[in-house]
Amino acid sequence: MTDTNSGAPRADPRDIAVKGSHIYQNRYRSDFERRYLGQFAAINIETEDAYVADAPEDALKKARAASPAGIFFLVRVGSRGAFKVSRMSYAHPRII
Amino acid sequence: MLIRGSFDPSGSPVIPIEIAGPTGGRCYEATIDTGFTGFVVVNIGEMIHLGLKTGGAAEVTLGDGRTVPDLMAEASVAVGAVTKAGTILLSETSNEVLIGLDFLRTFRLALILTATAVILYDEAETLAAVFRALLSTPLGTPNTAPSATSGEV
Repeated sequence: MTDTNSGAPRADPRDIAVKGSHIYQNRYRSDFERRYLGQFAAINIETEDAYVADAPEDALKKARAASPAGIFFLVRVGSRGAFKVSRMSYAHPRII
Repeated sequence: MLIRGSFDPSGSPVIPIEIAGPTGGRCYEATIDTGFTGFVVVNIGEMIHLGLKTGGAAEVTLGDGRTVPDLMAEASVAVGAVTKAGTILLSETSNEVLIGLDFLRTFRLALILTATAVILYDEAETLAAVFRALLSTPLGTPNTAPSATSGEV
């Protein structure tokens, strides 16, 4: 599968999550959980640099400013996932 | 800004939004999910219509405790006359368009949800106008008419 506007192979979210989680666990987790609990970190899976902010869009904005073409894994420090959703259903999207 | 939403056939509160990417925009009936902490979720198939380019991934903890990775993409989201850029999640498992707490925070919206009314308003709106909107909502069962007739953007 490809990105529609670039023709490049579309990244697999599982690969990004595996790489990003590995970097986070090994390089940042213990330090970040002391200093940035509850904040968001965007991790560049190529350079392994991390950018922290209170809000997810701010962490990603910092990350993209440093590396516009980077691929980032977003984590919420101290949480299992970056986001929570209370449900997932399988209805088709309603396009108006 | 004052937006009157409606209830979909399942009783979930919905409002009309537009999501736009590099190659176009599309209007959706988005479900307000206060149990969702993020901005917007759409099915990954929509990236084709919108021309979205993925820039990474984030893990999402589902209601049943499972954690799944979703791709992320930058998109413009419009509600009423206001448009904001944000990072939306591209879900492989959900075919619903969901808006969450980050959506309300980004657009600085407050939500009033009663048995029969769905109202979103921002700080520019007067409480009198909000109260009038509440009073004008028909009493009885939730309004499950299509949002094209009941939504006010």
